[in-house]
Amino acid sequence: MRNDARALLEKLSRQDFRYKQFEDPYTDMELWPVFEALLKDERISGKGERREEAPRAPEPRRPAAQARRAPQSAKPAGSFLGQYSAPQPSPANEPGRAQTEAVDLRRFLGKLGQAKS
Amino acid sequence: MTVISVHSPKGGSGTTLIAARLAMSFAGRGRPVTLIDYTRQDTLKLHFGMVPSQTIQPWQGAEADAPVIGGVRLVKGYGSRMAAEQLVQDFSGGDTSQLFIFDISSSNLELRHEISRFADFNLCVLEPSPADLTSLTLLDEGQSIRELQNFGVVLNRVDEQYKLSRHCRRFLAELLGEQYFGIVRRDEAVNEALAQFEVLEKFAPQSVVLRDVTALTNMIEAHLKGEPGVSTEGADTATRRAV
Ligand SMILES: Nc1ncnc2c1ncn2[C@@H]1O[C@H](COP(=O)(O)OP(=O)(O)OP(=O)(O)O)[C@@H](O)[C@H]1O
Ligand SMILES: [Mg+2]
Repeated sequence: MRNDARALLEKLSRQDFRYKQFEDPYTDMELWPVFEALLKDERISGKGERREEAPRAPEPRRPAAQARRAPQSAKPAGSFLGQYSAPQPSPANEPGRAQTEAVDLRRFLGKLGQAKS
Repeated sequence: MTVISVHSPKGGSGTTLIAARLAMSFAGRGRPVTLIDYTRQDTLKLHFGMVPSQTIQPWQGAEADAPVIGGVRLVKGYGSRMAAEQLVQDFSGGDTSQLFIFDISSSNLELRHEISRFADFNLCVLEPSPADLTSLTLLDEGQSIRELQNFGVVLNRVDEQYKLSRHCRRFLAELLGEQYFGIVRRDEAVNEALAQFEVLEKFAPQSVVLRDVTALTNMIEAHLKGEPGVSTEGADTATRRAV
């Protein structure tokens, strides 16, 4: 049991609670369409470039603060991604980029599926 | 002198709570903090134990009030004739250890933009909901979210018993990488404290909100010092690291 839960139960001096920890097993991750839509939206992820390689503009005030880690390379997509076909063109994306985005989306979701909680 | 802006493209996601808690958290670490309220609601003061009838007049230079509560100086920016940057100059008085935190209305994207030009860090508060995530698309007209500098997102009112809450958290962590600044969990004690006109530390010292904001403060401090991000897992990892 987590410490904060134990502290709370003690504070309330209640015994009639059932404790359940909501860990996220990897299989629990669902591919909500809103995630997919936002992932493909260039106002979120930027134009054209792959998310992992997006260059950053020079920082005006605090260059040191931007020492960012190199992102880990994406792992292959998990099996649950089989349900994804090529994405539909959306208003924010030209249809011509659909193919690259499909790859990026799969890479992204693959990472999501394999991310440690 | 350090400037932090707190804003959300979506109203009601907890900007005011986070701004108030961050101010108290930094003040608790010995930093002189000025918290500038740029919202119309006038509810920021409640987080400091003030009552509805107590008002703070908009700052117009001399002769306005700016009470100091728990080490935080409260300034009303909304309704002030002065520009935000000038307000900072007025109060800093050349003291470089001063920290300024802005609570900005969700609809005031213009002010968000103006302050982001001189802010050292811009915190965006979202709730784990489709509407909040979608509102990110309209945050900045010029740049995509991933290109924004000195920008971070904290997910507020997370409740892990709900699937979508858990999934939004994982999604944002992965999507944003080092722009992800973790979570602040939902705790009804926040509202109960306000109803009692008490500060949260006194009303509910065990509140998860206090723990989560401590972790958030650690992450922001690390960012301000120019340290590389700790992890895409955000505040949770920062907590572990701080132990
Ligand atoms: N982590 C939390 N746990 C519980 N209640 C919360 C939490 N965060 C915010 N609240 C409550 O949710 C409500 C909205 O929060 P708040 O006023 O901070 O949002 P806001 O983004 O500033 O809203 P607005 O856009 O109107 O300025 C308040 O009643 C607040 O007490
Ligand atoms: Mg507010």
